[in-house]
Amino acid sequence: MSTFSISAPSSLASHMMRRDSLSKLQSEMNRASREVATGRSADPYGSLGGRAGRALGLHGEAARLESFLTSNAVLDSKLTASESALGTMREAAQSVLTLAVGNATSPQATAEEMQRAARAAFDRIAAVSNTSHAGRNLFSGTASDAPALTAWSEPGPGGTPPEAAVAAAIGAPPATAAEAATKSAALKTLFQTGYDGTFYGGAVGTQSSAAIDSGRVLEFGVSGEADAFRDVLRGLSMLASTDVAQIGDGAAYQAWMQEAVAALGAGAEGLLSAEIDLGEARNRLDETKLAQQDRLSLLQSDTAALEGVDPYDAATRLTELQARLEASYAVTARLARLSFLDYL
Amino acid sequence: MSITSAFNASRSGLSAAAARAGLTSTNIANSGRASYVRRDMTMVGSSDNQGVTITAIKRDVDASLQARQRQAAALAGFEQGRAEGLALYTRTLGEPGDGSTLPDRVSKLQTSFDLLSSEPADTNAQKAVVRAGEALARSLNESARALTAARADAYEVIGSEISEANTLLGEIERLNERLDGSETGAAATAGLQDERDAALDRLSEIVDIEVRARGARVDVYAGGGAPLIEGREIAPLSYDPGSGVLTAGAVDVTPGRPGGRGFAAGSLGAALTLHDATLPEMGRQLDALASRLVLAFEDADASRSPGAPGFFTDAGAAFSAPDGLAGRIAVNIAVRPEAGGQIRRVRDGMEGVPGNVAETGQILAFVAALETPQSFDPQAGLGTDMSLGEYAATLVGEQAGATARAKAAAEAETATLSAIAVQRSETEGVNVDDELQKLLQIEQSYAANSQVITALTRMMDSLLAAV
Repeated sequence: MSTFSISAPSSLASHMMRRDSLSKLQSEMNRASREVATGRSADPYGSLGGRAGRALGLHGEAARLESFLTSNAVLDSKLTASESALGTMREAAQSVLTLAVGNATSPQATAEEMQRAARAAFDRIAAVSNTSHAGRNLFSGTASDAPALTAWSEPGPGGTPPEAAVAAAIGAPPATAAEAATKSAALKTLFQTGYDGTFYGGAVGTQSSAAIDSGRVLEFGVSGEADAFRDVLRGLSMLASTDVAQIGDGAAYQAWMQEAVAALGAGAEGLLSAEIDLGEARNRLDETKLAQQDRLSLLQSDTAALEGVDPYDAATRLTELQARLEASYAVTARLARLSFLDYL
Repeated sequence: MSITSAFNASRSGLSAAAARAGLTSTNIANSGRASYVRRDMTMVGSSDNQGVTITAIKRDVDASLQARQRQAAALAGFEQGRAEGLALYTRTLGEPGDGSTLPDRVSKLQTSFDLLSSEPADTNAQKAVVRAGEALARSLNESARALTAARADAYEVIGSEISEANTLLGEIERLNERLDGSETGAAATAGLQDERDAALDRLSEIVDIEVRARGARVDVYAGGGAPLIEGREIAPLSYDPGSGVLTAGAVDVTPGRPGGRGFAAGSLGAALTLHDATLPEMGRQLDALASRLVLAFEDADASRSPGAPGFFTDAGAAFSAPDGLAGRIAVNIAVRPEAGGQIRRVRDGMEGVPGNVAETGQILAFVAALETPQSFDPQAGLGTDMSLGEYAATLVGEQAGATARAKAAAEAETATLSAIAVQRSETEGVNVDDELQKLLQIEQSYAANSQVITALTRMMDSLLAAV
């Protein structure tokens, strides 16, 4: 009898091997069915390996982009509202400017209306400057709960109405050109040092800004203390406080009107350039929005590539595993019944 | 040659067949035991060269396969223990996309500050910032608690594994004693050897060992060479939690010591490395994240006086030390209205006076703090210059990934172990069909021998009848 014989695995080992392969197939099937149902890998860290950190980071980036898209849309509507308010204010100033230019050298038929028109424009500009968007004032700087410009006869935050402050600075209408020059200078000083608190009630020396993208901050908006507003209101005050038809002296009249027209002209130009700045800011926001939308869809496809599972692939795997499991069941049952005992 | 000697020969044949039947029935009865080694017998001619006697019960073990199997068992035990111990902690870290992972919480804080910068006066946006900060602090606290619990669990495992290992060492030495006194080739010896092998197999799952035969005894050494059972002396294992040193008798056998003579694998090795190295390192990484959060917000707060806490605090105070900070980090009560604080402070700074309602300077500083790359200690193993969100993502990816890697390694080692076990079973296991065929042959041999005896009896009777 040879000592070398072909040996088979022990009965116990064969049995354990079949049991092991069945339970492995069953757990693989569980995994495949989870992947079919959720569309994502059932063991994300196992399948991602070293890219797990990147996958986790992608979710954060995508969330940030989505929130920027929302907040930038709100910011855009705020800027639109500011832009159209500026347009309205500029038109009000422009109409008085046209009137004044027509009466610049000597009073014409329309001269009597100028004072009324100037007061109306002043009040209109003050009213529009207090436009709010979602409850926040647009032209008060960062004190968006405070009023911007004060109407002609309303008391300002300091208690004095603009009318009274201007009257205090100018007094009676100028009689000579020299008086006109002095009174215009006094008014200029008022609009430089006595502006806040009387004409303007918002925050001083501030600039609105907001984060629009990762690492990018947009500075936007113009507040009622800008030079453009000061000039417009100064010009309007000169016409509103004095009935220029009453200025007897031609030289005084011309000097006064020249100063008013210059102020209104400079102010209207300033308001226009502020409008243009806002338009540019909106353009930048738009570009940012497009870039962010592109980045977001890229991130979403990256995330799908990293964590997602092709549903057709998962379904195919599931079907194949099912077939293998059924075959294994059949084989195990047959082999279990196959024993030498049955033939003895 | 006479009838009497013929009788004796047949009788010896009968008893040999009976003994063989007994052995075969033992084999079949034990075929379901995984640690049972098949018994064979050697038969030689009897002393008068006419009959047959059984000299020894053989129990053939392939020593090299057995050693390989014990190595594979130690590695599988190590990876399995590591995977289970780590999973206790890392399952609290969450999965990509479920919205509750640490990087998700950091990103939520970031987006809530972004939204606040475009609506600084909105109290809902301010509340959202405080809530996001609280959620992040709570996540860090919970992770720190889970880490402590996992470490405590590893400590318990260390205790129970050491006591089991010491019990097994005692049992092996006892079996050594008994095998020393018993005769080779006896049935009882084979049973004792089975028991000793089972104890050694179980021990090799706990720690990696080397087994060397010394006559009928075995000496057991640690994988690195330190003696556990040598001669008649046992070196019991003991663990000093203060210094993290595992000793066998007087020798340091702590896993992971370079050039040491100790263990490198086994479930005890896994629990020790988790308790003393892996989990503390993960804790330090969490603490680094908490530290940089606290410090970055302290630095970004322009209104804060030196020594005062910022948006994130160390249990209410300013930053002191990073150890355990992940468990102590909390949002400053100065911004929580229910604790008497004022929510406007997320816009004005922790000690800021009430400013313009739409002021965004401080808010943008906080936004920048979350965006700017911070420097992290390269010792922590996660990289140096990255933003807080990136660090959190890397941290979770690495720590959860470690568990996934350990699981995959455990599966691979278990597969190797099964393959070796199948290979061993070919030479050492019981194949029931094979034993049944042997039984057929034994039956035939018994029948033939009894036929011979019947024939000899008839011959004796005819001789006696003639007298």
